[in-house]
Amino acid sequence: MTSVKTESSIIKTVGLTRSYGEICALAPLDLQVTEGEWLTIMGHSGSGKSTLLNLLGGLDRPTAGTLLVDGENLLSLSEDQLARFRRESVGIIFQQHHLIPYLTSLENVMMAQYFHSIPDAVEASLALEKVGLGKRLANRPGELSGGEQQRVCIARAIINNPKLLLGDELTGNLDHKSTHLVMELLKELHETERFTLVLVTHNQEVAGWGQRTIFMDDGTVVKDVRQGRSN
Amino acid sequence: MPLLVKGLTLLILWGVLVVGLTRAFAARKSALTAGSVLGLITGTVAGFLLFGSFTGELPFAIIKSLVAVAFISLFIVAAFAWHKDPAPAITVFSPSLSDHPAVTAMAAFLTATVFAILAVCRLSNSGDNATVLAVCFILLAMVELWLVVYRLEPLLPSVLKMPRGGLPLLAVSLFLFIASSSPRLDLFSPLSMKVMKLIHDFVHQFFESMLIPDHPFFRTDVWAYIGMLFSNSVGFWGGLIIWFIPAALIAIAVFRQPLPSVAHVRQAATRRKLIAGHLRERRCLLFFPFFATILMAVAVYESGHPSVEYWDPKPIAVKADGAGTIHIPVKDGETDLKDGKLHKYIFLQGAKKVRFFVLYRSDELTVVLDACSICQPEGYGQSEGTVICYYCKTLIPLETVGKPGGCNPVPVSFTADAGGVHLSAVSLINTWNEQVQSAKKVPGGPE
Repeated sequence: MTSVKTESSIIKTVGLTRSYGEICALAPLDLQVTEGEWLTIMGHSGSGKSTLLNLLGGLDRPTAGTLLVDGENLLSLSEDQLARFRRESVGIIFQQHHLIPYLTSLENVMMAQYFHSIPDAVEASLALEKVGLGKRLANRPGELSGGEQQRVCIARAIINNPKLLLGDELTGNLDHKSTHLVMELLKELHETERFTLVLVTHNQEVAGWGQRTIFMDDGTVVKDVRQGRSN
Repeated sequence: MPLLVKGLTLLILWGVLVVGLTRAFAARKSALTAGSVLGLITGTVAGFLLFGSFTGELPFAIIKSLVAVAFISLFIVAAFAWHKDPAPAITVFSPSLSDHPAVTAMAAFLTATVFAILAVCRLSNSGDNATVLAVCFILLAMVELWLVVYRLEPLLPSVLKMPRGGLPLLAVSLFLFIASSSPRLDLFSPLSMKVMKLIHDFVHQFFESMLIPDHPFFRTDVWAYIGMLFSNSVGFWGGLIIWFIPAALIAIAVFRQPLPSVAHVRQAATRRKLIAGHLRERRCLLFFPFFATILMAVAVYESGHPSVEYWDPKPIAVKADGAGTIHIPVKDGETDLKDGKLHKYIFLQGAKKVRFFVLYRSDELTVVLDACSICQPEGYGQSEGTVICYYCKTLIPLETVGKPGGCNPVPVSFTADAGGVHLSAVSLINTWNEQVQSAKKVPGGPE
């Protein structure tokens, strides 16, 4: 396993390309994200946002280029090594919560611990308390609101202490109030846990919570803006 | 078993043993190799000396005793492995002492010596070329030793480590496995018989001392349970428990090992990862004990289903003449009583069925029942130099067939002349009725 950690950058891509047959979802892309940064990716549908996020999370493999995440060259990793990388280094939050419906919120979080190492109910309940669900440990996803379910997903994503947290339209299904609550929580966690956060969103308001926003079109970065947080 | 299969099996087992030795004494490969080579040579020479100097059952009895001593020693090792704080004098295979070259060499020497003796024993009945074959085998074993220690073993996963007491367990299970393939060396059958006799004697003593109530009100219930202790399988299950106690103790010892502390690690996920790693390491420590348990289980199976084929002809029906005498001619068609093989006969009179056999040994004919006075009358089969009681798997040397006592076939009074053997039908039936245990389900038994 190659391990090349560039100074203070957790993500570095050089000429990163992803094609599906003749369709080029991601044109050669160069991107660098520093450790602890909050990056938002925006763009219209089909611009390559989710493709990039999937590559960063090790869910997909690039067609060409270099992709370094937390010092690991993801192209050189075997399937087993990639699975280990996903378990240990990355937390992912999706728009669809992907919670297991017949497990309680506590058990859903413990499931992530199980695949990482060993389950620990005390630690999992502390993580749920951290996201404000200390009293909903025994509730199944069907008994929780959309915002609460997303908070379970956040607890599940951060339970293994990842260096990189990825979110794909994580507030897409939430109303304004729930969105605000989730983003407030993410901000708090970002400050305390000090992970790098990469969010894909269509929502200008969500983008305002980050420190940097890149705009994508036709698989390339067309604009890179560094900003102060609006919230 | 074909010679090639026998030799290959022994070589594979030797390879496994060497892997175990190398994992137990990873830091001392030279001492291990030297000790093993010396052990192989010593064991081979000792084996040839045994079989060259003694005939009959004695060499087998000596080797069987050697394996039995190793098995008993395993109990001591397992008990100390199980004990949390073993006494320093017995921690022969603890990590600290395993670094000592003399300890490594001695352990390898003892293991290789016993293995070589067993290998010589297994290969010694391979015909005229047995000596050449055994020497070739030992030379191949030496080449394999070098290949495994210096080429193969480094390629195996490093997580496969030897737990405390694991090497003696592996070695003894291999010895028991090899021994079980020969009825003369098998230990499980005698062990299960001893257990059965012990339980029977124990219950008997209780009964004698009136500790078992014999009151009519609860006699039936009590005897229903006591009856279970007298069933055929009680010896088997009792023997099985004793057989697997060392492996169980060593496995428990592995689980009792405390995990290294991770309290100093601040991050919970890292802490969990470290604990998971330690748990995985501990699970891997069970690999060799698990393998040894499988070998011992196969040894039990082999003991009950020996691959040796016994000479066991179908009994020929005989009748008595008007004077009540049964005549069996020395030669009758293809039958020749003096060919050294046992010849089985069955005498039928009404519902009475009595099985007996005629055997020519030590230059004279003898007639015995196909049953002993201890076991259920399941009969005897003949293998090289012995007959075996099918019920208790006891081997009876041919020289002692015709003598009373123990599990020997019950002698029958007869006369012999140049024409054949002659025996009284009444005497035959009486001997069967007086000496043999009744068994309703046994074919040929008295009804």
